[in-house]
Amino acid sequence: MKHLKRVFTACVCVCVLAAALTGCSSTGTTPSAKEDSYPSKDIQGSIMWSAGGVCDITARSIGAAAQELLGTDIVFTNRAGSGGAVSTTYVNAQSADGYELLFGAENPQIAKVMGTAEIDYDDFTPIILYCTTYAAVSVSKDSPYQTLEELMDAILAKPQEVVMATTGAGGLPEVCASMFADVVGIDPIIVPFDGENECMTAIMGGNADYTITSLGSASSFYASGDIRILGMLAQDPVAGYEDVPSVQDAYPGFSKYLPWGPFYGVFVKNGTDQAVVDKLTEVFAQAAEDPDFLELIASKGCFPLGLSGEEAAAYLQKYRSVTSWLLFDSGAAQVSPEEFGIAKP
Amino acid sequence: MEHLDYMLRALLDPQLLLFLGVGVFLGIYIGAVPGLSVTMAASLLISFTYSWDVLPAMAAMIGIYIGGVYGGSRSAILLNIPGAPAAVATALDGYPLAQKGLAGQAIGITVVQSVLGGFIGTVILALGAPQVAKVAMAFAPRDYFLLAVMGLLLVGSLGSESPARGVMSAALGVFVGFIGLDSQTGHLRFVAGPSGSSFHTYMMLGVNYVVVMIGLFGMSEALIQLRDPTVQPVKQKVDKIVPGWKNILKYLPLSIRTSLLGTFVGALPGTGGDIAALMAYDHAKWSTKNPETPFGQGAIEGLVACESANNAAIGGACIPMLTLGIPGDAVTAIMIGAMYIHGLNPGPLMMKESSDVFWYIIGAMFVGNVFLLILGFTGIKLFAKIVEIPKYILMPIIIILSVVGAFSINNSLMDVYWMIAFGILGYLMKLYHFPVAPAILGIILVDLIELNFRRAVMTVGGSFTALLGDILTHPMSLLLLAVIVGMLLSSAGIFKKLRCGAKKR
Repeated sequence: MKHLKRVFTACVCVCVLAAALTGCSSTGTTPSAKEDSYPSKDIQGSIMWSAGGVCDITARSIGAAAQELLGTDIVFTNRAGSGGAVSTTYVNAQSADGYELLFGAENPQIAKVMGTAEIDYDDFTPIILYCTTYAAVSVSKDSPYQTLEELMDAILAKPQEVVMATTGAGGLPEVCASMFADVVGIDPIIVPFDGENECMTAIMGGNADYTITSLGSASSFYASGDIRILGMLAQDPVAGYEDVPSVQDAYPGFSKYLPWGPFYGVFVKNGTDQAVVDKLTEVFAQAAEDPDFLELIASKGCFPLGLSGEEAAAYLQKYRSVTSWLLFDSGAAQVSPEEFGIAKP
Repeated sequence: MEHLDYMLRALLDPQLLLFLGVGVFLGIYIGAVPGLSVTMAASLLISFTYSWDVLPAMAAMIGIYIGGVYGGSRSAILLNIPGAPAAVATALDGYPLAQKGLAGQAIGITVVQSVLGGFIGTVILALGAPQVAKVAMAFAPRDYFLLAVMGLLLVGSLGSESPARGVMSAALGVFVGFIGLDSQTGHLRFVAGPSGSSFHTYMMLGVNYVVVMIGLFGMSEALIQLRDPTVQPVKQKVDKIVPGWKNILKYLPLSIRTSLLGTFVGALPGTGGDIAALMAYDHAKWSTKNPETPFGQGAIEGLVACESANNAAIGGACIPMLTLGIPGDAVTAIMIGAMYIHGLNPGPLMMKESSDVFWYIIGAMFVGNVFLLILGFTGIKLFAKIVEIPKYILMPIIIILSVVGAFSINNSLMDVYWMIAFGILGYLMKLYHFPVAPAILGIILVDLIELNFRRAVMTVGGSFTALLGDILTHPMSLLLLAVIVGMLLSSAGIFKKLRCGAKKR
């Protein structure tokens, strides 16, 4: 009797498990999209960076405006990691039916030369590049360095002591460090933290001497007076930061790299039906005009970009060419951009 | 005075009060379901709240947060399946109590201790947020490293007769934590499968530790209990649920100590309630000389310590969130996103620019804990009945919930497969008397220990001796090192013999 009961239990167990699994997997397969009825179900959005960062916040904000216009929900999932490669690989592995959006930043454009991934935005169709920002060199308010030159001179004088906080291989701070290595000739000590916010706390807590992050991560600490921004990687003064000098003022060599800055955009996998791409492009262009969204990106030190179609593709190409060659020439990237057919800028 | 006004809104505005109360209620019951976690509840809620006003959205989120962290202890006590990583330590003594028919009392104690911890955490948030944030900010990579080493030493106290088995289990956790892409250098570690396949992509991201937890605790517990489904469940006594004043006062010094510990560990960005609860459990084990019941067999002190610490960590986690804009744990990361969507700017300007929201959040946390005190005592009889359900009905249900829970983390079927694999692994571990809790400890701590060690060494120019010098010249690091050395010495055989010898004399 006891034995029978056990067998029965095992059977129940297996059946239930099988039912649960098939139930789940039926949501995994997607019927091919009919362009006239698109969207007919929830859209999945993969965010390239973790919750609370600039990429996450701006993506959710433009997504909130877009889902009103689409009349369907966008279900967001953060797929952070590997300089964006985790999210690009994920979306690239899904079907190109317009129900899997990628909300990403500039990072995949250097993935090939950095060797972090074999795919970049060539494998995706841009829906919109919605905003851009600048990179800024920051130190704590207690830092002895008052100007960019003082900081750079200190790094040159004692290269083993002045520590830079970064976000790891392929992140924006390390790309900027390569620019400084090339233009100023520094060989900085870098310590990778989890993200740009952690870089800010590292300099404020005295665990690193300086960092170079996107303006968005520095803006609120700049406003509160906890940090000083010594230089902006922009050609002209940036609105709201007029007293911050351009890095070009002290180091004219930067002119060959600027304008340069991170950007954020929405993408679908190549091969998505053109009608679906058009529909999404129209909706996101409208969402990018949303006042709440504009206010939010302004508060994060970002500026509207609003590029789509050919313009967006050209922008992506230019960014990839400039940055890939920069990383290769400075020695940060081991693989030549030529191997991937990336032309010199 | 203004601040008090804003805080009182949490109590006086009936709509906000409703959202908060419903949030706490939902949090408790979502948290109590094995497999469903507070992080999941918060991330589901966030998309609903986009169209709401700021304060109702915050009220609901805080409610879910407070309720959910507490709720995780229920399934830990009743089923030996922690509802959340923060409740792993609760299961160690809670489940033995349930097996003695004392589940009702155990739950009663966790309610009171959770509320106590919650209050202490909130008081610190209200009075000293900027100061605590400053200390947390100065916490250097070398300090995180030392803290994590300290955490790893807890293996010794995570309930096992055989320390070697505990170490094996922890090593397994550390190994699983290594899988994936190294975030600092971009190298792949232990990633299998053809490049570009979804299996490969999944491994690149690393195995989600909640998946491991659901597998090792939920699935494996169901499997092990199904080995003999005819065992008569223990009848639960549920007449004396609310603990008396005497009981609360007796453990008050311990609850205050562990609450302070919980708040601080919660306030460190990168460590949350899970580590706080485990460290508090360890503290209780060391500081309680003669427990009425030995630890691991139903010691009240164990419940008191981890439940007060993990709820105190809520207040702690809100400190870097509100003053620096940096999440203290996974739930506060989601809350930061929600705050931005609502036009707030969590960070150094928050206390000035949106002091109304800042103080409302604090008020809501106080009121939320009052709700917890009331709602936490609901449904205990019903829940205690769950344990009395025949195993051949209950356990398959738990397996389904484990599948659902694993799937819902990222809507990924791959998570389910991994969960089942860890379920079977956990089953084998339990069969051969390997404790599973140290594996969770390992997987929680591996990033903290490894990344911070590398940071610490890189900061001083890549030399180990320079790192040692760095540790010896900073008071905080020196203190942590001293604690570690103390922990090691006191558990070493020689020292134990000496102590026993002294006692005999």
